[in-house]
Amino acid sequence: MENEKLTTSQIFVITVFSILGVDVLVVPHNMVTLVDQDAWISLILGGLLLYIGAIPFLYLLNLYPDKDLPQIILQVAGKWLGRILLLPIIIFVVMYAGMSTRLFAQALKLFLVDKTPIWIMVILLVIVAAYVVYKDVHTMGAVLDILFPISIVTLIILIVLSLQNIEPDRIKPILFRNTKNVLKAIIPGFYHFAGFGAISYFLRYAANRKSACKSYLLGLGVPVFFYVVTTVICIMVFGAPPLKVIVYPTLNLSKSIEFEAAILDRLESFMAVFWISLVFSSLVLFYYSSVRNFSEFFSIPGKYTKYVILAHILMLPIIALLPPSSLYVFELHDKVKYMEVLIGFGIFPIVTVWAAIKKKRGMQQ
Amino acid sequence: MLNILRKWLSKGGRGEKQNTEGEENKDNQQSQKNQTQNNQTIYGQKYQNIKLTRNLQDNITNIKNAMNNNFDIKAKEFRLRGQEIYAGVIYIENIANEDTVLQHIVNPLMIESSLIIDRDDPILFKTIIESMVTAEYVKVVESIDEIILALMSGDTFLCIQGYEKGFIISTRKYVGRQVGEPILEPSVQGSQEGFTETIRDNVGLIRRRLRDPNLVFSVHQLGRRTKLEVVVIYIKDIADQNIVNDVIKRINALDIEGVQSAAQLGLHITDSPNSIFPLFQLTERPDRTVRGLMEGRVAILIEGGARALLVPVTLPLMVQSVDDYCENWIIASILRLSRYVGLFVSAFLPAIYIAVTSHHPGMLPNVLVLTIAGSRAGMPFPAIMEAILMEVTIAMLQEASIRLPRVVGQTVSIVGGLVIGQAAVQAGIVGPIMVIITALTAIGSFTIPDYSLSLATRAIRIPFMILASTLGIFGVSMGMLLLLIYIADLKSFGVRYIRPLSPYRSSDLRQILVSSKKSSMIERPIFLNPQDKQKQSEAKKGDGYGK
Repeated sequence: MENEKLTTSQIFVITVFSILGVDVLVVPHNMVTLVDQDAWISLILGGLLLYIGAIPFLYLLNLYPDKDLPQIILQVAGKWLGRILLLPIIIFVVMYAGMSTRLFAQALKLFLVDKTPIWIMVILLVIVAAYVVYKDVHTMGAVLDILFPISIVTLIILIVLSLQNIEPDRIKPILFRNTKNVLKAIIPGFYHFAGFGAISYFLRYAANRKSACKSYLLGLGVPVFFYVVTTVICIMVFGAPPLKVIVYPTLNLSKSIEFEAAILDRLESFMAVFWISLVFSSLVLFYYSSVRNFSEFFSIPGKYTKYVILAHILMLPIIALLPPSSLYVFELHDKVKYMEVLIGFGIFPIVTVWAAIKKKRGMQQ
Repeated sequence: MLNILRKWLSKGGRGEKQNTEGEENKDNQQSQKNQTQNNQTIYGQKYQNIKLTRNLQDNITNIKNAMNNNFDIKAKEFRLRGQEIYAGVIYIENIANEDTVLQHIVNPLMIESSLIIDRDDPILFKTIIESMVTAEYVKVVESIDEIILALMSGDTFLCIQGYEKGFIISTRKYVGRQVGEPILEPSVQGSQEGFTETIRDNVGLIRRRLRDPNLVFSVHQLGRRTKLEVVVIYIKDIADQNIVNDVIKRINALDIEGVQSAAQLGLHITDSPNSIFPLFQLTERPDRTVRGLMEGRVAILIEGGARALLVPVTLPLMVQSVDDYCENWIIASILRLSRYVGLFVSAFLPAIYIAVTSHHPGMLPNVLVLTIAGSRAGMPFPAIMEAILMEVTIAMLQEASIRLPRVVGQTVSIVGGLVIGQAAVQAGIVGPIMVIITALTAIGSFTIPDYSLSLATRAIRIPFMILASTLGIFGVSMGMLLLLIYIADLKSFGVRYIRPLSPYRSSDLRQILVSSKKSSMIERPIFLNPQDKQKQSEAKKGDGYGK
């Protein structure tokens, strides 16, 4: 059909995938390092913070229903100031896309293809993502629709199978002399929900805006739920102290599962295959967002978008391969996420307030 | 000539004529009009300088000359009884029904004419058309182009001394085979009738199954030289008018020499000609066609092609079979699921096998790994070579068994089975597990109801094998993602190929993917944008299905 629109369910899927990315592999490790066995409480509170950030953001998007984020910022803040405000977002999105690709390629190398060099995996992932970005948003929506059940079912299977190994006692003591750390870790917990802004590039294609907004808010809950549950399960299976040294606990989780039927000996490499769909989906969303950012920042007209996409094929692998070793990857990944706080609680509120004032003035006139 | 067929078609159902002629969209009508004009002229040759004259002899010679005096062009001159007026008929003997010509044209004029016609009848011409010729359709013509075109389709030209015009009288004879069993799409429970090469029979087969006055047959002519009729069929109050217009527009926009089959026509009007996946569905089953029409799709029949073209089509629709609706919904769902498995196996199994055995043996249980390693010990080739070898052999076997006459076909299967199954393993060229994998792949491809779709899986098999042997399971997953994006981007007449798998809509998904339980069959699949959304009344208590 010519006037194809993203349905409400597709907005939901996009919301889930924009947050639920490679982080699901490292969330338990990162959080437990900070707050031991109470990591999940910080994550829940971080989830609340996510909603606090997301609801005003949604309000901002609804002020300009037919524009996406860079367009809104440029319109609200003007040509030059708008570009200054846009710059951190551009850097964040492109760095996040690069880092998550690298992080995932590293995980794949550990668990699936130990002989393939990382750069090949990074480049392949980026090229395939470029292919779908090169098509239109609706193709993207269709692809994510198909990948969604695969990813979610994998997660659920993993959680269910892990239940046989849990020892609930390991989560205790809850909040014992740890309250300060828990509160401190709310912000790092929030880091993992970076990417809630990705919806701003897709909401304008929604068929039914009102229900799309609802499904966005609903969709935000899914990654929060899965992050909390995987963290809880990981703590119950491994215990907090070992988690501090396990880099990819979620993948190790599948390693610990004894598969009775013995169809597959190493479940973790099997699982790693299915993680590809998850990480690929979030990469696609960030790729598209980044392409939109750059196009708006340099005011590139629509017909040249394909060159922006091509430029990303070069840029993303370079960013991804920038850190010389895996240690730096985590460091850089964390640093990129600090920017999320700056954006989510710095730039977004400024733009929102600014936009609201501007709208009001426009109404008065 | 177009009108003759149109008229004949309209005889089938009441209220039909208005549908074809009157109520179509304006643009549509306009384009059709233009097309009609184009098609009334003959490509290449120009007969503009030849005109009908008052001299009967000249007319006959001119027309014969225009058609190169071929032996099968028959011209018969005779005298109207009791008068000095001569008349002549021209027809082509093999495609015109000679009995009709003699009984309904020549006989009344030659033998019985004196009863009616006076010697100096001033309105002789009108009298003949209204009172003499008993054939079913008569039309007055003046242009030679039109006459020749009519003669070529089996009609007869009647010309009377002293007039610069004549009659075209429909005397077509349809030579073709009897309605037979569908060969490519056999069904266990469904009907055993298949389309034939005659468009007339095919339309009849559809009419008999769908007695709906809203059934529309829109006739078009195609091909510069072949001038074949193409009938676009749809149900007016179900099919999405945009899709119908799109189909008609594409057919009318074609400027080709001619097509011989529906498949060729499909390739000409498809959205993306480079797609390896079939973007139109070919069927030789009238029942499937009728089902498609009731889903809101458009069927295209072409003279001389024993297949109907169903558009738009999506991937899940391709995996359906007629038998799905003849079984209990649980059984039907299982059958359909097995076909999806077949599709997956046929496309990816060899690649996954190669990837797992040569890159990730750790994925398999130890005992199985040992068995595979044991069977592969002493094999000269790597797994990828074995697989390609087997794949090529199977492809050749399949191709050979199509080409060979049925009598010799047996030999191929025996030779193929023995050589590949036994000898290759014993000779140590191919491992036994690879034989199993290849056989499974072939069986999987046979479960796919659509032949073109199973060819598509064959086309992607070897690229996936290469990906598997170079990059392991990671390569296979990347390939699958690429394939998924490719399929998601395909469109068939504006409908995405992947629908209704995406976007989700539970009622569509339930109907297309798994069951055909009555309670889920109340609504028509929405992704084809039907006008009449409800199929049947809500299931009630006690009607057998509802609860």
